[in-house]
Amino acid sequence: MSLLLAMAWRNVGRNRRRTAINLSAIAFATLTMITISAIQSGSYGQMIDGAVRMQSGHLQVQAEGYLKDNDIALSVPHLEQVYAVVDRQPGVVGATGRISTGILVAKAEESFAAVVIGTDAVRERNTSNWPALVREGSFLDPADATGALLGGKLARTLAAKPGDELVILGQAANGSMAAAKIRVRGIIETGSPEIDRSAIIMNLAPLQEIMAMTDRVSSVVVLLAGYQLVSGTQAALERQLRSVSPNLSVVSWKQLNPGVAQGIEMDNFSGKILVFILVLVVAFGILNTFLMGVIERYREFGVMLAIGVKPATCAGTVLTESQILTAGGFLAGLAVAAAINGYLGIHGIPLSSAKEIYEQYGLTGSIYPVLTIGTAFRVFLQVWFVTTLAALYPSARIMRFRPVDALRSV
Amino acid sequence: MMTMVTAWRNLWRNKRRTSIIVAAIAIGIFGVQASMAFMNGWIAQSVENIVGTTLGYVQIQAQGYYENPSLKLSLPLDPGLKSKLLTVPFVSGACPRLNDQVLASNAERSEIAQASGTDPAAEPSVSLIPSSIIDGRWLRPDDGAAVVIGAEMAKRFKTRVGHRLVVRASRSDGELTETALRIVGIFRTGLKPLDRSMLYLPLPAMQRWLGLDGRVTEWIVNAVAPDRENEIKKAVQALRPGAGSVVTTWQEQQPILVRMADLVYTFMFLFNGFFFVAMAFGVANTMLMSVMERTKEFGVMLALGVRRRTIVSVIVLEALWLALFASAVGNGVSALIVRHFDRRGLDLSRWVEGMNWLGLRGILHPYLRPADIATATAATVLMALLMALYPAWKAVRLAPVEALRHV
Repeated sequence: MSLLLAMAWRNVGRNRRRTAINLSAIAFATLTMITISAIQSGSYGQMIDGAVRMQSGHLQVQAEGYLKDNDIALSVPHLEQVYAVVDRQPGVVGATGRISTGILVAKAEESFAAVVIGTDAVRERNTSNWPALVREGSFLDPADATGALLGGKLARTLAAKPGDELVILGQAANGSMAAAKIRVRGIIETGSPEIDRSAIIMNLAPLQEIMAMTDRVSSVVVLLAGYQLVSGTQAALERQLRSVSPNLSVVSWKQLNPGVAQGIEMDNFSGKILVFILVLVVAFGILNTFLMGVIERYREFGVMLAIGVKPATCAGTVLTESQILTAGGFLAGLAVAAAINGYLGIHGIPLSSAKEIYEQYGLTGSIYPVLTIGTAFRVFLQVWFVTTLAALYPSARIMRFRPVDALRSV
Repeated sequence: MMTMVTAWRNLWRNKRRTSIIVAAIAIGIFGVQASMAFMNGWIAQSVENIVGTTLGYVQIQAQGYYENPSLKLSLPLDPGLKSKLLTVPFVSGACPRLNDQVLASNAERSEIAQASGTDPAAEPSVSLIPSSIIDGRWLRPDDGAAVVIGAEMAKRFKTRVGHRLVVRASRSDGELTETALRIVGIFRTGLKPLDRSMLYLPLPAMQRWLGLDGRVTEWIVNAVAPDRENEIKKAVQALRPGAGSVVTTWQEQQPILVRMADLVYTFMFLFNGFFFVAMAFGVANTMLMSVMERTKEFGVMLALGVRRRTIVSVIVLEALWLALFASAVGNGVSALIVRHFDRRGLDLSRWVEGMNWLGLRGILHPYLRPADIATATAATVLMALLMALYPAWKAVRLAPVEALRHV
């Protein structure tokens, strides 16, 4: 075994230039793959975080069927009991009941369609980042029953500013006409087109009254400590909430933001294909040098075979050579990748030039790549797999050598 | 000429080696072109999905309407304008619309919708909605209180053709008004936001309902010539479409689409760079090997009086042939595969929610521009020539006697 290793090591050192090129090819492939993965997982985490904090939460407690229909008549009853269950659940950072429904908003002579969202002003502070996104005026106050926040774009369309009075008109849960006066308390700019363009956010209690939904909400939005907790908490809550009401369901951010979830899945998939093609390109380049390394040693292998070395041992040296190259190239690539991604993980990749495009997809500020051991390990397996595959063909040729022919070749 | 033939023959002296490196380059080019074709299809569809539905290629609107779409900013409907617009070169259609946000309701539910009062005969020339009807029919000029809605909306409202839909809005004088419409058709574009929130009714019905007889909020002009929007805009402006109106192009109204295309192509440029670097390692090693194993041969050539310049050009020409041949294979295969998916459509409806989120339908038509093929070929040639420099330099510095001794 050690002889095999020693021979392979010497062979690696025999043609330094070729070894250097092979090493850098493997290192380059490693670096590219790790960096792409790290940027992907960093931005996916941020996109998910953006979507859940902006609107949906990680989980929502809803009445069965509400997800599909968004029907205001399908509501969550016994709000306090639901809170009691949710607040007790480990991993829950915040939870708030919300009512959300389409209405018409009128100012003076004009009216526009909008979405009114009623929420618990105190609980919202732990659940979304809305309180931090108020640009003008101030966030909701439970004491101010008619106070409401307007999405920035809606405010501009209505030419409304804090202090202005508006009228909302819609259909209550029981089918009757619902109308109420509200006063603009603040303007909110979230970067999410949905909210900025059409949201009116107000206190839950007065909206419950307007919509004839006492002690009921459309959903209870739950924020968790991390998206890894989603599936476990979802199952636990669903089980415990059965005692509150039989037809409550708990839905996850993936169901609430199918676009984000699938967009991520699709990007991830296409990224994998491209990276695979890239590795293939590198592998073919390496295959050529491995093959050369064997062909130019025909005679040498012939001598080895003639003096009784087993063909498997000869093939073994070639395979071992490839393992040394893979290990060396991978480690070099990993080191550079760790340095680059470590730096970018702290300082971020600024998105300044295309800010508003990324904002559409829930990315704000900078992208911070996330490099995990799992990523590095997966990349290693891929690189190892293709380089070993590339070494197998030349090794297989040695197994088929007849010493006499090999000795005769020049 | 002679050197070119020699170089080509040299390239094929070791068939296996050359085939492997050609495969490496061809696969790399396929990676580049596949992602490029995907992005081309993506960008083209993003534009088509907006321009070919609600936005239009060139728009005529009242000053300020785009920033603040309000019924107060309407234009008088000049009945002669349509035929004048159609005389502008490249223009293929023109349609007046009166748009407003409404609250649509039935017994089941009530939701915000975008109502578009349109000329039933002209809408097919500017948007793909009339051709996307899946149930019932498109509007007719003699329709009264008729409406065409999207499939998603029909599903959410649990309604179908023949049923009633009530719409509420405020008239331009501020008074709230509602009207009952009969659903005559249902469309499906595959774009959820549209299929969920757009409804179309005949222009005269919309005008009467909102008390805006003889007025529209916009004219949509469609054209068959991409990249000529500014020319068409100028020609439309020259028609003087009416006091207080402005003519805009889709790029002016959706600058984010233009910037997104720029961003995507910048990103692709960088990403494709990775592919060429990956190819370069293989080419460098192969070129180096093929030159090194011919040291003795070059020594003989030098000894026989062949000029060093000739030797260098043989090596460089080998690299050139390799690059050209591999590009031809790579681009040829890519073009065939891309064309197959362009015709058949790349079915990504598995991720239809994600596609919709990105402003796309479930099926994408990837395509390659001639420039993509030219760029990839040029990049391959450049890469191969750069990789040939070092071996060529080594060959130039050969001393004939030593080279001859080389085994």
